[in-house]
Amino acid sequence: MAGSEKKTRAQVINPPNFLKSKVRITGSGDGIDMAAVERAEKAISHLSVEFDGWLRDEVERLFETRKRVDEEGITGQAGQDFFRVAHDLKGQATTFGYPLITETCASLCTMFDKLGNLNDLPDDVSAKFKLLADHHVDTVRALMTQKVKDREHPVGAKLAIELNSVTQQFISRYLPE
Amino acid sequence: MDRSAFEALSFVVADDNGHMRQILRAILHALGARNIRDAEDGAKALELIESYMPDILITDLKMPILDGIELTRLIRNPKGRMPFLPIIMLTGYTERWRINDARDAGVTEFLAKPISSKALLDRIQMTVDNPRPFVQSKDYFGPCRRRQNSPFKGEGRRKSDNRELIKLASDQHYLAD
Repeated sequence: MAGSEKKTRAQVINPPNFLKSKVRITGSGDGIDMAAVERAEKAISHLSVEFDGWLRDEVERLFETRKRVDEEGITGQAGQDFFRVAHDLKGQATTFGYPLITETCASLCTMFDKLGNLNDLPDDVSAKFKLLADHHVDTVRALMTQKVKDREHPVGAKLAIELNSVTQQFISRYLPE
Repeated sequence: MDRSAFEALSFVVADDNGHMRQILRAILHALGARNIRDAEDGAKALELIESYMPDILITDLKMPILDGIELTRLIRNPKGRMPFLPIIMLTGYTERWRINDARDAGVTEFLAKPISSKALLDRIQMTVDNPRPFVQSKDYFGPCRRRQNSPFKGEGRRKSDNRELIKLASDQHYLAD
């Protein structure tokens, strides 16, 4: 084999495992230590008294960044901030006890992901996108204020199904792969 | 696992969302961790890593200034201060290309949002008990990207155990202490 090919070979390094010596016992060795998980769940449950307030803060941020998109346009920082807040809420709402808000924000994030290059977005599609984004924001606010947490709630299930259907139609019509 | 199992481990938590940082802190604390520092963006996380030399980094993917992928690339510089630092990345993204980007930057383990205590404990235990070997090639330096339990069946071309880098891993540990 030529010398230049030898140089491109991968090298495997096995760094010494110092972390193991710092951890006295890591479970029974045959799986997750459920007692530790229970302690962590209890800690989250203690924190849960804060969750309604935190959810309100995040939903307000979603609403405010959506307003900024109207003022500053979707292609700039406002659009990025709106996406980031929607993404944060998607990741947190289930922990806050609202899986349906996670689902709604996941749908909003999917729309953003499919948009591609925002600068190339025709005006009519941009307007439709903003309208549909408003439906998502309004749905999130309604779910929070009415304390509709999951699809067990008949109104929640109906909202989720309809919003999902409209979003899928929008994506397949205006944002094909 | 007893309450103090993770007492000697140090963590840096990087997430731009303060609520998420509080949740992560609460879970880590319940799991026994007492040495936790947090950062609200990738740049601050990098500063903390270089000064605090943690055992494990838990980072969000999407953050301002430096995102989780850029942060990972900077850490995985073989001549950097902590190139072997275990990195657990939180992500609400499900798109394969984003996960591949993060994996190719050198992320050790992924944790999907919404996070659960059990999943976080599982990733930490995995990092401690079964650390991935590192691979250095012309265009990659980071944890082995193969799944740990699926042996490679092709021709073995790796040059194992680079002594210089193993020494670096040892130095990294002693500097951290």
